[in-house]
Amino acid sequence: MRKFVLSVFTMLLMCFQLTAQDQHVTGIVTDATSGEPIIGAVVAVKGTQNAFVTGIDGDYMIDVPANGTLEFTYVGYKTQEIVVNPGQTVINVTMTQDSENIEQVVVIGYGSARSVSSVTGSLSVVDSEILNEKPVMNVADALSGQVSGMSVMTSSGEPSASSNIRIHGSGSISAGTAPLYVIDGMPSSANQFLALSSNDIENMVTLKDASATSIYGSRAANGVIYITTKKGSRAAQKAQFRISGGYGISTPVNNNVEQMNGRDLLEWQLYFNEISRSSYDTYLADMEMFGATDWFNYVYKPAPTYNGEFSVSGGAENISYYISGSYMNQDGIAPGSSMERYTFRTNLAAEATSWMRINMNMSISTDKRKSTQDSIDSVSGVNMSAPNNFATYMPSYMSRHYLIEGTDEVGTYTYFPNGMMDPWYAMDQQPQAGYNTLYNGSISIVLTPLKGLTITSLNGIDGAFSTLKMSGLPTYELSGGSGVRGRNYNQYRTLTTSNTIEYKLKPIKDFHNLTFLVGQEGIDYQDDFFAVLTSGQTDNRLMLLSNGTNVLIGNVSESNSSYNMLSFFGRVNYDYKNKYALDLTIRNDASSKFGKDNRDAFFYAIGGMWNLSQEKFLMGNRVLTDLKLRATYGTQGNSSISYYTHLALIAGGMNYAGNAGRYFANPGNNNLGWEKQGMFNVSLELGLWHWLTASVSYYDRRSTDMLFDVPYPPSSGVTSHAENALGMLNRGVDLDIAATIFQNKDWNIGVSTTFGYNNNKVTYLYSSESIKKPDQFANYEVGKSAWRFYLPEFMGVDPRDGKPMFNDGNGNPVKDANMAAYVSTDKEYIAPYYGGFNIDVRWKGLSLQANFTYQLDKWLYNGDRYFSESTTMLSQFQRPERMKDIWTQPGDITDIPAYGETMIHSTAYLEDASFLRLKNLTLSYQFPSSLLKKTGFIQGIKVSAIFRNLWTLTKYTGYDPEYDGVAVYGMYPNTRQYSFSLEFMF
Amino acid sequence: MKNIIKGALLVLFAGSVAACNLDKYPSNAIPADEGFTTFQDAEEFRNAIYYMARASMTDILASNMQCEGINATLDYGNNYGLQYAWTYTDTESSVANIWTNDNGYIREINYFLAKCDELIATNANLPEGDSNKMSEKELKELDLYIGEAHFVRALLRRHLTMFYCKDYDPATAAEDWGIILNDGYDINVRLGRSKLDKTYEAINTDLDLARTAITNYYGNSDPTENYYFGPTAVKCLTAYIQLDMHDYPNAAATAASIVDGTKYALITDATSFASMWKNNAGSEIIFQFFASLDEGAVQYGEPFLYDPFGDPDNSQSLKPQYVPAQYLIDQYSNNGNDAWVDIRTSAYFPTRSCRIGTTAVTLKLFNKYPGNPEYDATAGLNSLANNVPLYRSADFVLLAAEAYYQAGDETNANKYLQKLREARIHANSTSAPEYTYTPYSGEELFSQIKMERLKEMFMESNRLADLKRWGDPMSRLGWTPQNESICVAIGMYLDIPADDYRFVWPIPQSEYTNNPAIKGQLNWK
Repeated sequence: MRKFVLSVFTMLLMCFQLTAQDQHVTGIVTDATSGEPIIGAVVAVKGTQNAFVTGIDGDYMIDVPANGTLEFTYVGYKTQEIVVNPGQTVINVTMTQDSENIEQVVVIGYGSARSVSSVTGSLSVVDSEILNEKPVMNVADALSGQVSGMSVMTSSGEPSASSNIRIHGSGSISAGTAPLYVIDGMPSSANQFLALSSNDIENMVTLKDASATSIYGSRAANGVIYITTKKGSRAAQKAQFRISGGYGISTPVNNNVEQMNGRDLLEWQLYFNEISRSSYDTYLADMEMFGATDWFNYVYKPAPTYNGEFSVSGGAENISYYISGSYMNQDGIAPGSSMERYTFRTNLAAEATSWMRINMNMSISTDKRKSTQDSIDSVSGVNMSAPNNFATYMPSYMSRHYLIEGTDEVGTYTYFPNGMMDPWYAMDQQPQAGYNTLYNGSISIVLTPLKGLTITSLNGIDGAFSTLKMSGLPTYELSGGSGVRGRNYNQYRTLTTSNTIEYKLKPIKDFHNLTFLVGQEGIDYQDDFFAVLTSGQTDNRLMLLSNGTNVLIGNVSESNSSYNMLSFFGRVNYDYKNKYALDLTIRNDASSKFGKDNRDAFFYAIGGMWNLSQEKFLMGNRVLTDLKLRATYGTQGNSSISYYTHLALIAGGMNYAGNAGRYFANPGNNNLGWEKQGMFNVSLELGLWHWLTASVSYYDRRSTDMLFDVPYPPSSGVTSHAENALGMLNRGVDLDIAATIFQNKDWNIGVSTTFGYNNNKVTYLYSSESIKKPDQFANYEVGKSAWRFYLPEFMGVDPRDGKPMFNDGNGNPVKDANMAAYVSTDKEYIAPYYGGFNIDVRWKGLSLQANFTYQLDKWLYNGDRYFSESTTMLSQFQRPERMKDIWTQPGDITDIPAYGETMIHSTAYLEDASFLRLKNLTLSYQFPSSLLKKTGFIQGIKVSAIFRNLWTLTKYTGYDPEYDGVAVYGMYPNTRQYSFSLEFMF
Repeated sequence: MKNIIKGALLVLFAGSVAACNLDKYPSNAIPADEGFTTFQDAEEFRNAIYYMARASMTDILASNMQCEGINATLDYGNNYGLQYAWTYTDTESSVANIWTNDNGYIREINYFLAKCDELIATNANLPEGDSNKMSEKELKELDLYIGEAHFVRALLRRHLTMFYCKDYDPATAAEDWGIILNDGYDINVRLGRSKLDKTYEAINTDLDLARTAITNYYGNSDPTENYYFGPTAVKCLTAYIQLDMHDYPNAAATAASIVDGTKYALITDATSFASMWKNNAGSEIIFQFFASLDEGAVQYGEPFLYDPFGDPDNSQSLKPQYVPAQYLIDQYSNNGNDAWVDIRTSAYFPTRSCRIGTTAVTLKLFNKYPGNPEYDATAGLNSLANNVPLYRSADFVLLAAEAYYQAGDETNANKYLQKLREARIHANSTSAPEYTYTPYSGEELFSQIKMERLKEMFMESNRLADLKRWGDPMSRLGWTPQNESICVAIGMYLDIPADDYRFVWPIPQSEYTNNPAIKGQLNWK
């Protein structure tokens, strides 16, 4: 046997040494000061992958080769190394706290776990404490302000809303800007965030620079977020149970919107002849009888959230498991908005034999979502416009009937002008719901046939089934007695297989460590969609598709698409004495999304690290306890464009007289290729004294061959064409500072802050001097930012005649709106300064955490004002308070033009949407273990009060500045949440 | 140990073989080099060309909302508001859509024509008996399709000049700007505008080719279905183009040849007339695109007969966005002569109960598009969807009158005006005297012809183009509304002089921003 193995390995030209008899060692790890057991400490055999995590009692068991070294590590404690002597079977260790060396171990970028400090790349780790117990479905929301260089914005208060995440600015215009999400090694998508229970997450690691991301190749241009879910521990003596539950209330965030009150509004409308005298009298009488309606609080009402989680984790000698289930039901503050979700997760790790480990991570989530967006007849428009546009003197009843206060009598009311519907009634009569099942499962087989050699095969599937049911009931006042029923069905799935071989050489001369990795990855994606709509249903109780009397071929649709990708990659790591480290990675991707001529892309990265604090001149320094310098350069790509853009196509459709038609649908582009990016990053990490850590890093991210729908003049026959049209540069600085301000036996007060600055510039345009897209307020010009606003400049109102004045392009004010020219401003819709800060106060069992997030110099076009302040487009609608300042006579100085003057889109409605928001405030109390020991079985009880979006500071006059986009027209505002949760561990 | 290595290598091989197919095609489209190779493909393209012509030519309301005869009510919700008040800019969507769509369709036609040439050439080289070889019949039909494509291109190019070019004046046509003449389908080409005379030359070239092919195929009779172009439809476009180019004698002769026969006779009784509008069928219709519940119908009646509860036929509280002006309705009253009744009034202006804002009011509403029951999405509920004829004989009776007048032949001008009037105006009872027509002369004759065109073709033909052709201003002064208190004040008495630059629509922003060749050729800037 040995001879055979020997010969095989000589063939592979690798040296090895078979281990002799291993020793079985057990012990307990405790805290040197308090004597309490340390749960979750990592006990590893140095130089191997062999590691255990201590259980509830601080206990571990591990097989160590004779004269091997055991390494004990735990967050916040000094690492200890103990050589195992022959015959030694019990080793108890006491560990002392050490706030200077945060030795976290992370699993990233294929291959095995590495400690953060040994990685040459720049990464940020966000722990479960920040992510767990949050009262929203979307876990990403809690990341806001936690990672320097990362901007997280949630643009809607829907329970099923997801967040927009950007790392180091925005690297693309037409291809996606979202980072790559990897869950337990499986590439996944942002949809899965809504399927992850926040308590299942162990940590989220953000990979920001080339050295860490290039190995992900063509999907990594926007950074990578690596999510690790909780796993069990093999050393646990018994299973650990965790049960928690919570209840909360959501309300809309505070805002600066000021509306005119009912009486003032009526006077205003009468003065400008929007209503007649008799209407004025009627509405005034109505208002006096029934009171004015606060439409904002009528549409957005406080709504409850319930959640419950259960998890059990544990293990035995050969197996460890983490099993969890959760239920969350969040009602949205707007009508027709809610989400109810169940999640199930099983993470299993089994040692089938001493050289084969199998990990299986499976999760399924099933949810029912109601969103104001998905209704027949676009009722969402009513929801969005009601708070802004419905006059406050309009009583809030359904269009014809209302209940007279205090009685059951139904009164008849003359319905609203323009047939506007009460949103609660509209959503009630147009019910809809989406039913989704998302699954993410992977099986990985890890073979360690020889010391130092790890062969991993990760195979997984990530996908979802969704169906949407929409009805328009026949009793709906505006339906004319005929109902509508629509059904959508959508499914997608991604199959991923990723196979790697990693070989870690035995340390050469005891100090030189070399690791090689080669791998292959294949992805097969398919999706499928169809939709049907029938009409003519007559009874609210018979609302199936087949109860309709009529179906139009135009209301039947089907589509499907797919893409494949095949990649090969490799990496070499070298490190010397933990002082110097070097990483080199290469990767080749081939994707079906690109033209035959441009299908392959090659990526590489190189990174180095110099740990100055290990140098002789800094060793033992009391002031500068940690100093590391890192530099990396690498290339990545971006391929998230639609799948068939490069093909010239003839499509079916445009039928005439019942006969099929066909037409030339897409001119195609054989040269369409990848977006490429090169990123340079240099960072300095330091620790001062024992209580301050800081890191500052500079990055330079250049994108070339960016995919863009270049606008074409209609005379060419098309209005746009997908090309690799431009190049862009994002440069900036990330800053992280963390300090323990005060620490003694009872107290621990820490603060930390993250800050990012990003500067954007277009570096070249392939075919012209500038690409203008005035309908999106965009002008791409070489040397200038791609995110500036490009729109007519408003130059105030002439006091003599009340006419608005616009810049004609040369600085001269003109009053004819047709002569107004579009000009570039230097205001950008993506904030150049963003970040957050955290305060963490602990006293005995009590803890208070406050997480703030901010964005500075962010500008947003308030499209709602374009309508609510218009005196040419809308009449008899609610007006904001500032409309009282409208110009009425010569000599009035105001910036609201006279009634009847046309206001085009202009800088008049471009507002500063910078904000500071208290994202999360958590107050919790952990019952002391001394008290709990008396119960015998309860290990921990924690009660928490959690507040989300509690307070916002901004100048923006709309509902919510946290809208990620150029212009906002009707936004479902984010919610402010007050919740309470209780957790038991036993 | 052997097995582990084997297993590991197998796993790796399996992985690398997976996901190997990198050539993917969509399931709802065909690669372009495979999609136009047979006669059937050409036939399907021809259907799409008709679809495109329909989509373009049935977009009739926007420019009419700019003109006299209607008033916006307080409930108009700014629908067509920018047109009504003449406050649109070069970024406004209805302005840009006609330019964008028509140019896109012209490119499709260019592609079709080029591919047909290729098809005929490869067909000549195919051996007899090859399954793809086109038969005699198919070749003949292909010639028809090519002729139809030329016709549609002429139609669309003239459509563009109606909106984006000045009136054709033979004296200045060589200096005035026409449209961009694009004969190919290369999307990278950047052309400037041709002059108006060259534009009409190109239109006439296409029209001549179309006429030859279509009359070749059909002879002198029209196709049995009036939704395919036949020789009379070609004559209709010819008459209009001759009128545009001030070729009055020929225009008059062509128009006369269309209306003088017994086919396409004018309707003379109120019931049939109303039925023509409701059911979109009648003797007057020369050409009308195909429409059914599934395709082609447009909700022209919505701005005029809107019921928020979805049941306009039975509603007692309609919410029209636009109502006809009293001054317009009065034009049909024959100067107050009660003995005669115009069959158009009962069809066009029924009295309905409305609720504008919160006021209940009885008004005469515009009912030319009352909703065709065949296009009701739900049986029993009027969807207000109708078809609209592209060419009907009354249009050409008026064209003949106008052309004869411009040619100086007042006798014939009166003859055709009389023909229309006598069809439309009758005694209001068996005892009353029949309608008698008194001829006009000079300026008075022209005003009568122009007003008759408004009365007959209201909200149907392009009045903005008509005013441009006549050199008349657009003035709502004196056009009293039915009820001022329920109408929006903005634009009610709008007065635009004949030389206002806005009579010609602006070149859309999406064109001049991206086409350097058009610099200096814009209409507005």
